[in-house]
Amino acid sequence: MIRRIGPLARKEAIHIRRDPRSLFLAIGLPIFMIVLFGYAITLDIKHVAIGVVDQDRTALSREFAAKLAASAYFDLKLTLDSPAGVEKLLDEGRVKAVVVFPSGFARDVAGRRDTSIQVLLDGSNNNTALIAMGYISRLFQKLATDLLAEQAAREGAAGSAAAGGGAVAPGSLPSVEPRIRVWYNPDLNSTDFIIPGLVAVVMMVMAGILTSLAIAREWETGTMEQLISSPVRAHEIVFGKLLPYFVLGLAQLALVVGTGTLLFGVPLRGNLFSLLVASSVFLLCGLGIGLFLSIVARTQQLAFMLAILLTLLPAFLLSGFMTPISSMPRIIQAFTYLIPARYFIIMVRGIFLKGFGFGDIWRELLLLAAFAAIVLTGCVRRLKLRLD
Amino acid sequence: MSEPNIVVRDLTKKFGSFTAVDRISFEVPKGEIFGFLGPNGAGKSTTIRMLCGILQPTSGEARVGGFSVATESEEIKKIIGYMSQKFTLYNDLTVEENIDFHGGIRRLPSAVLAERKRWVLKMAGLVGRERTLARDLSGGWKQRLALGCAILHRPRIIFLDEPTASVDPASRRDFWDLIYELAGEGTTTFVTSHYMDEVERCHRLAIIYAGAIIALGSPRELKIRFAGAESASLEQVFVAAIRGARTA
Repeated sequence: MIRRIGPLARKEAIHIRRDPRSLFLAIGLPIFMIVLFGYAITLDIKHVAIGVVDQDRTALSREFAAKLAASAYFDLKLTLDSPAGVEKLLDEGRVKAVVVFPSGFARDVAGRRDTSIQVLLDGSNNNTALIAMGYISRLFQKLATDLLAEQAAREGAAGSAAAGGGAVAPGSLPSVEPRIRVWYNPDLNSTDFIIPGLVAVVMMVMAGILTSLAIAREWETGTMEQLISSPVRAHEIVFGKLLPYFVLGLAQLALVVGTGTLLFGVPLRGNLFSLLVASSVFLLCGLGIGLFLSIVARTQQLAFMLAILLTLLPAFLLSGFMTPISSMPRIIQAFTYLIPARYFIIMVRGIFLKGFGFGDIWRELLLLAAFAAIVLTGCVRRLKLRLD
Repeated sequence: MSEPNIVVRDLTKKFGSFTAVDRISFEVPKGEIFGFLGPNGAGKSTTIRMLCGILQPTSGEARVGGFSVATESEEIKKIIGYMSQKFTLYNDLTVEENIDFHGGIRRLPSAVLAERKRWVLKMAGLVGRERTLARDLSGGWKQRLALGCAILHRPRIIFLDEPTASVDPASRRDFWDLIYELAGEGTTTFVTSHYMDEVERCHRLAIIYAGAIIALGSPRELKIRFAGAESASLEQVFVAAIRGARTA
């Protein structure tokens, strides 16, 4: 007996169409999030304001500073002769990092003594600081290696001239240089990483929140009393309610995938059909949770709060959408196994960036399918067609 | 003779320690308009909900159309029409969409639905207003549309919970004319109210007070029994019955 799903779904679709709040959550919010995450929030840093204190004032220190300034990651704002006033610059946020070349830097290098360069970082934004630190040390490592190679070449040339060639120059140490190749996302572009995950967040917001109101609203207005006095069955109500939101979720998928690939150039390397299947199964999980909350809460307000707490926040914070799960505390990590978005994000990133197909995602897919089946069964069981 | 349409024996509903309906018994034969009169909180809605199969009785028995409310509510739901106190239409749906929805969940074939829709629109005086949102209708229109949706599938038995509350007197009269018309076609009607003037038009009525039936009979019988004269008003009957119940 599924023939009542049609009229129930049609009715629900009308509710959505005539409710500006629903439309905003379903279509407006995804667009807003795409723009926000696509343009404004980027986890890459570029053009970090930086200062240099050059107490050495040699060709070498100037060469190093010029290399810093030439990098796209930094904007060299000013060069000082003494460290006085550096604190103020950092306090005021005029620079995020200061590199100090001590006097005697070039002399120590020439004399092959260990030397150091001081780097002061504004850690109030630890993310920027951490990344800036990485860039600076990589840059200097490269400079140091080049310097060493240059010296070795020079001394080697001199030594071979003196000794008649053949001998290994005393200064030429073998160096190991990592040749880094980043796979899947060679430019380490954070939009490539964020946009696929956004599919999960957008769907969860819509699915969890809108459906959390769907059944509670009918209890509140009293229409549920009318509905349950008809021969309608629990599963017909559950699937009738679910269907329009499911279609809406697929529209969101098209929206995010469309703008992500066309506007932001995120590569979609995997199979579109596997993305559709994974998204559908994930949607059923989200819709199931929202509907379940609506069924048990009976008031829109409570259902809404629970939906924020149990669908929106976990999808944002615990799914690996922005912060990697591996860097969370162990107890929180254990908790993330209960969150459907966790599995979906693995699948969706894999499909986008690594070209995953069904062969690569079947475990996550099965887990989510089981989750959806359990939640939806729970909905049908818990939806009482009686008032008491 | 077949079993009466509604048979109630010692029907009781308790909510915790509060007894909302206390061992009530009555029968309603086919085609009768049976009125349930009582002040707010007397147990009218609780009774009607139990009879519709949407509230489980605590004890006692009730059969509607031959089916037990406790164990065969799914069967009952197929043969009844119920209009709850709030005339629960979907406010953001139009007149026509509300009718179509009820037709849909009752699985009316489209030809039948089209015919019934014409009937409802005419009955409710909403011809030409098919595309008006239900929220924009006035009280009388809303009520007739809600009734139309509740009886779209031509139920054998209809339950109306305070159908004329918040409706103007002219609309109430039209409404009762309609109930008579349906009864004439053999529909059994169980209707609750606290308006004396309109329950006068019931074939029989029960006065419920604090969960118990304190008077049961035709309006004429009740007037003679409680007020001593056929010319007495139901108001007098009501007051006398309640006074009797209090002193008993």
